[in-house]
Amino acid sequence: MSAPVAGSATSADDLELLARLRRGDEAAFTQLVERLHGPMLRVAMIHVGNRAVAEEVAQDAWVGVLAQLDRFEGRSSLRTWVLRIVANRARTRAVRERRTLPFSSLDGAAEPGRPAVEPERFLPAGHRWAGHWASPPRSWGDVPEERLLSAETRAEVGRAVELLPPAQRAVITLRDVEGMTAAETCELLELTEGNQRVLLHRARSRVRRALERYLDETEVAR
Amino acid sequence: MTDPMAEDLECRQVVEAVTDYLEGAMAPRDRLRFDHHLALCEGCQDYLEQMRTVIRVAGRICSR
Repeated sequence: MSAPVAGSATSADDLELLARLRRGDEAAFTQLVERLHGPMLRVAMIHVGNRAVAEEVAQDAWVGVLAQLDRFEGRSSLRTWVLRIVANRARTRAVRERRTLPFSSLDGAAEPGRPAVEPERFLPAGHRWAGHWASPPRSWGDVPEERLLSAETRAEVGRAVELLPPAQRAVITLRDVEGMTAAETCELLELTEGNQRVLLHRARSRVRRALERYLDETEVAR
Repeated sequence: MTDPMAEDLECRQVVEAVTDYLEGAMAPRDRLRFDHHLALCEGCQDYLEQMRTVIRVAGRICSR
């Protein structure tokens, strides 16, 4: 059903790739770059917030990855291990440039969030069914798969993610875009499990609203 | 209180608990109440399904 979860244990593929990398196989390195450069940039961006600097951090991290290959112990996936190196370097870089971390406690889960769904979509107090749907969401079960996964829909969801506050954007990027586990996300972003979940909730809720709006509007336009 | 279902969830609460539910971060008793509500509420079933769709589409943002 869902895509394989990235980042759990080291897979057989990883081990094979690792063996080739350790032998200095250039094709293996190219393969790794193709697979991980995009995710590396996105992780770096979370911390440094600037494309050019993120590129530098990623380049720099590749050097670190190669230098530390022998120290990889296979307790996580290769991907998680690489992204951890990127996150560390990006954080160091952000501190050096005195750029405050985008998801400092000020921007965290402590402040009250907006409701996941507009309050007016529920029946008001005093109603017999107060708090239940007045305007329920429609099923997306009849939306064709090719529309849900079309370039346009994906771009719309990508835009909604971009518009999120930094901490929410960081969490949803690692969890849902990159497919990392909660534990990995907490580690890379230095968040507690509870805060990670709150931020994920807010992020997904906002993106759902954006996708709902988009699907409703384009439905009408058809 | 004897009946764990005595306090019914409202849809308004369900939409705020949906991530805890999907993350498996609910106490068994809360999960039971959530499932109970879900079984009876089509709106919340659709909402949960929408959330799963959001996760699925987000996972494809970067693919071609």
